[in-house]
Amino acid sequence: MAVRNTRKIVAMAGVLAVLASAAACGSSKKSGGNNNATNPVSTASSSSAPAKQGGTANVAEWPPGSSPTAIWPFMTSDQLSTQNAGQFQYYFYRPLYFVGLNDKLAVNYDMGPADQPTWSSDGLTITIPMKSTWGWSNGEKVTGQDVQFWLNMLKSEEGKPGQAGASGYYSPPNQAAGVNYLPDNIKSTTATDSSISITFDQKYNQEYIVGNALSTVTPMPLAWDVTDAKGTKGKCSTDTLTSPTLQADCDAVFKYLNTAGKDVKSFATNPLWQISDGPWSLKDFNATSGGFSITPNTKFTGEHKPYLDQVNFVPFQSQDAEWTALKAGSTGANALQIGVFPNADTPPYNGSDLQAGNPLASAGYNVEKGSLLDSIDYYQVNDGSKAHGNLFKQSYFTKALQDEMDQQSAINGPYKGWGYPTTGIVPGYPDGNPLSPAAKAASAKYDPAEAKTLMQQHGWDVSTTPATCTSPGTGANQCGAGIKAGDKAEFTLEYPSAHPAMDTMLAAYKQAAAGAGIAVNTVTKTQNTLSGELVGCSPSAPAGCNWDAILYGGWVFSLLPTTDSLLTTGAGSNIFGFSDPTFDSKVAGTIKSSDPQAWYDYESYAAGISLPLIFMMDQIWPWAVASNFHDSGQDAFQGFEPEFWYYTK
Amino acid sequence: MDEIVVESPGQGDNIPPTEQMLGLEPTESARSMFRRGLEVFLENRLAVVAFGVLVFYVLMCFFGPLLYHGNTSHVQMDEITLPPGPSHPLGTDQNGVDELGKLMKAGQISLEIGIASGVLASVIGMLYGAIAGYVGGWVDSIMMRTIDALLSIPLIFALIYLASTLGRTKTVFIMVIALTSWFSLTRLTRGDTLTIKVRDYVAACRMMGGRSPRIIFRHILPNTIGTTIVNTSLSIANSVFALSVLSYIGLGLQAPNDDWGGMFANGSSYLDQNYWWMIYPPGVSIVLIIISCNFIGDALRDAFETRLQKR
Repeated sequence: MAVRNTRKIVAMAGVLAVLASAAACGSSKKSGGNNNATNPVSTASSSSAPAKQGGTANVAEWPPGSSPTAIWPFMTSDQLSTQNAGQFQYYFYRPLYFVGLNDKLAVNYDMGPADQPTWSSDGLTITIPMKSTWGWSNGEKVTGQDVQFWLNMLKSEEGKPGQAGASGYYSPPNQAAGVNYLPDNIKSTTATDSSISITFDQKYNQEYIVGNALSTVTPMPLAWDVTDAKGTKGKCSTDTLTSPTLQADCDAVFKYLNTAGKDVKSFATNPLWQISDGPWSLKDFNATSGGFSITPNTKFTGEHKPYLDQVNFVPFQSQDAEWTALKAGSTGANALQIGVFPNADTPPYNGSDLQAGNPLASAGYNVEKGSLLDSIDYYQVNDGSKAHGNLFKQSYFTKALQDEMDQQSAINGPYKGWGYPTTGIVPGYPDGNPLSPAAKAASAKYDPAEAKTLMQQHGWDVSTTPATCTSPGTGANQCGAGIKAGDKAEFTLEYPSAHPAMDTMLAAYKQAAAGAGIAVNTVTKTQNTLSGELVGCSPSAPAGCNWDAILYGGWVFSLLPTTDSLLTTGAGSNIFGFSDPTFDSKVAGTIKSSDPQAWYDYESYAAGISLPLIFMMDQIWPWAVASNFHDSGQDAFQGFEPEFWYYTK
Repeated sequence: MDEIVVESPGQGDNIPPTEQMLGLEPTESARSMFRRGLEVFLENRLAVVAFGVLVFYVLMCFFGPLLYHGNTSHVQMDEITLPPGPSHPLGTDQNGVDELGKLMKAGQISLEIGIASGVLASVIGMLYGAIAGYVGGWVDSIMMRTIDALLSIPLIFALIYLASTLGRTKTVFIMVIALTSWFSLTRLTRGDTLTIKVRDYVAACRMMGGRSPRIIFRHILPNTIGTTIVNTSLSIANSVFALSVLSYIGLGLQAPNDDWGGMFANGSSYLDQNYWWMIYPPGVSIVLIIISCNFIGDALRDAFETRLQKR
């Protein structure tokens, strides 16, 4: 299967989170804000005053409580997160293709070491030209061999999915759907100093290959092809994908680099990590607090050189602590230039005037808003739950659960207008995602009456909560397979603690669900605890059969919002026990074809089955940015691009 | 030497007879102990006001919901954190729940638990102290050393431990607070008992074959009732406070059965947002109830103090 082409929204303070953003905007006919708000999919831009060269900026690490844990841009599944990638590694090591800058679903060819690729006439081979100007800080050029090095490393992960410490990028082939993913879908490669050509086993959606698959590839310098601290040269970078020794060669390198790459104490001192091709160098890293500083890479040869002399990423353990720092003001030696408002202190969203009610105006901060790209938020149910998995497999039941989720009221109420609804498996924002008529018709909506009717129609006595199954069986009007007479419509929903707005939203949800006879027992746990529980049910992981439903975060897609690595059978992030061969084939259709009909078929089918995701609102993050500072915000995938930040004159 | 001239009082004459003047006969309008106590109590203006406050809260909490039907349980996401206004006189909380309605409901819990545990603590303390004082000897020593030992345990620690291990129901809280609040009354009652048990009427009763339980319940405890009532009023105040403390640190009753302490704790997490209507009403209520109980206790002590009574 392919490289995991999506990025998980990791545990974050606001969990429902998504992004924060940059300038520009999309536009939409839909309204996702509160009543007095304009379209939430609109500009969030900072000062356009002239740039001042130099200066040091202090920026709060985001979300509070998180900090980088891995520097090697070939992460294991537990390391794969935005906090490690877009908010850390990308400063130093640029992906082959960068996607999502400035809130736009597009490949940003100016941000990476490769130029726009070309395809062979048969559509099987892609040739990726490497920029002649793009080099490593040790003087070497970024070449096709550097790309091959990364691909070889991924190939060596073939037999390891599911194992502890396995790569987070690899997914096994899906034979039922007739589709392979990177690098199993590669027949051959030809790497030179100036390019790399990749021939695939069949025709694929070309946008998918560039925007989803190759955007996860990060060229690695040949200097990293070592097997120990003494610098013993490895052979992983010089192998081909079919080399019989590739597994052993790359395993040796993986073992060493993986260990070095998570040794936070040596992030800033290990000579390996000093070799970079991005616009920044790591100046220091505090292994205890997770704070770090970056300075411009003086040998950076790419576009978009930094304005600032230094950026300090300041760790905060909580939103309250960060809020205290923000209230202290935007001037002074340690003042923050960028932070995030806690939900409780966020002014009500006002699309026509974001500064209205800004509680930090006198402290010298402006309010800016996050981006809205290609993301869905949800709580996930576990089809493999030994207690209630059979309930979650019933499409009428998950539909009822969805019907009880009042996203718009949550946005208008506890989230003060800072959010937009998730309508389905394909994000409604930004414009451009191929939403079929069926998907639009099946958009998630709040309909408690329908939820109650669905339960009643399927043999549940809803006169009490939890409702009781009175008509077991698999008929159209019965409770469904595996549900016995007397079974209760109840389950436990775990969600992160210390999120008042979320408490309110889920209290309302619990109350609404009770109206349909569904007892949702809400339990709060720390984000780390929830993270530990999020494993799929299997004989080797029986703990994965214990959880019913967890609200942990959402999913940020890459260029194309397909769910190949989230929901297909055996996919690396399919921890829900969800398996539907027809669904797999529909997903494969979106990968193999750019035909809109393939997307429509996928969406139509997804709308009619019981997906293990109950969609929830996406939060737009409100940022506090010093009024004398220009902030490009975050990219579509929650990464930062500090090279665009500057003080204004 | 002046002669005492005895005259029959005429019609409408208010001059008391000599027997009465000499205190040998009851006055014409003999005042009961209750009446004398009430007079002393009423002279204490603060206590009267405090009593009024207490009555107000009791009426508001237990009868208010019959007249005011605010939303006290349903999450209303479109009405969250509204400031006081016509539709919500005390505003709403983060779940859109009406604060006035919640204040009444929480007040019921605070007052029920406070009064019940205060009374229970007094009963336990009174009995324990009377038995220890009356029996005396090594039994008294053991019983009072036990009290000393229990008093050495920090109250808050005991409350936290018991509340967290026994569960979080109303009954448990009544028991827990009562079981940690009866020690001081025990000492007072024991002291009273030590002085009462050597009085002639107690000795006479004993000589006539009166058994210990009868002596304790018929002759000793009734004579310590003043101390007990005073202490009960203070104990109620302490119980309300203890419950509030437990709730404030998250060991109170589970929502939505918040007491005032739980409401205050919830509101205080919104201090930065200036949602004062979520903080002041429960906070002021707690303070007023505690102060009122203390003023009432002071006044009751005066009322039961014979030296302050007019005869």
